[in-house]
Amino acid sequence: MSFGRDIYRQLLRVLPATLRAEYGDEMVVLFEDLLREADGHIQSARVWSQAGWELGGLALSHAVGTDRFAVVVLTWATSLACFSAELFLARTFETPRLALRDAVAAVVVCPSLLAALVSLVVTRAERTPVSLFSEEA
Amino acid sequence: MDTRKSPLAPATFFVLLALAGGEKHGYAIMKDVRELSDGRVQMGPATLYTTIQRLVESGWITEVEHTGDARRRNYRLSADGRRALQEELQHMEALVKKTKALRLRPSEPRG
Repeated sequence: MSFGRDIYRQLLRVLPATLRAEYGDEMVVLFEDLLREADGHIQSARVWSQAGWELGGLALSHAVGTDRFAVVVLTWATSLACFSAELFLARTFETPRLALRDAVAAVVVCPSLLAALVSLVVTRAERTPVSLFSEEA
Repeated sequence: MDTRKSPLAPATFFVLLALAGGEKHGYAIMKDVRELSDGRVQMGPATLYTTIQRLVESGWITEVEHTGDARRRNYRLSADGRRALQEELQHMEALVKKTKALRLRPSEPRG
């Protein structure tokens, strides 16, 4: 149990220091309660997995909040990086037609995939309570 | 008078509702939230204490001075918190009344 407690305490480092300092010990005690309550390895694994998702979502919420502008900029910056990489490869390997086709595909596919991924993460993060209200007035 | 327009976040609402029944520590709050929401709102330790921190900062709940176990602090609803919860419940009641006026019913089985 103490091994699990130590790992969880380390994982709490993703949270803001003020939250950790004030409530870190209580979170660890509560996590131990949940592990104690878990019946068998599968339920214990579920407790760990939920803790991982929860901490990841909260860390992201605290990091970006609900700044959708940052998400859009991040998405398109990555897309631009993909496009530049494709053009670089086209010049390097001298297969312009093939590379150009791939580049166009990358411009279409990369933002879509990335936007889907970012949306998934942000949606999860928004479920975590950084604010007391469902939306700011 | 609180003039807010936004509904409370589910985690906020259920933590306040759990504490409406009396002072509780984190584990008891977590279990009550799960039960009161029929399992729809499940909070882990980090989510629960993030919510508690926000509620303490806003003055809606307060920490109880003395408990038996030093590792577990108890929390109770403040007068402001009780008012916020009552307002939210009034909004919900008004919404239910409006919804009833629309006479929404599940579709009748065809036979």
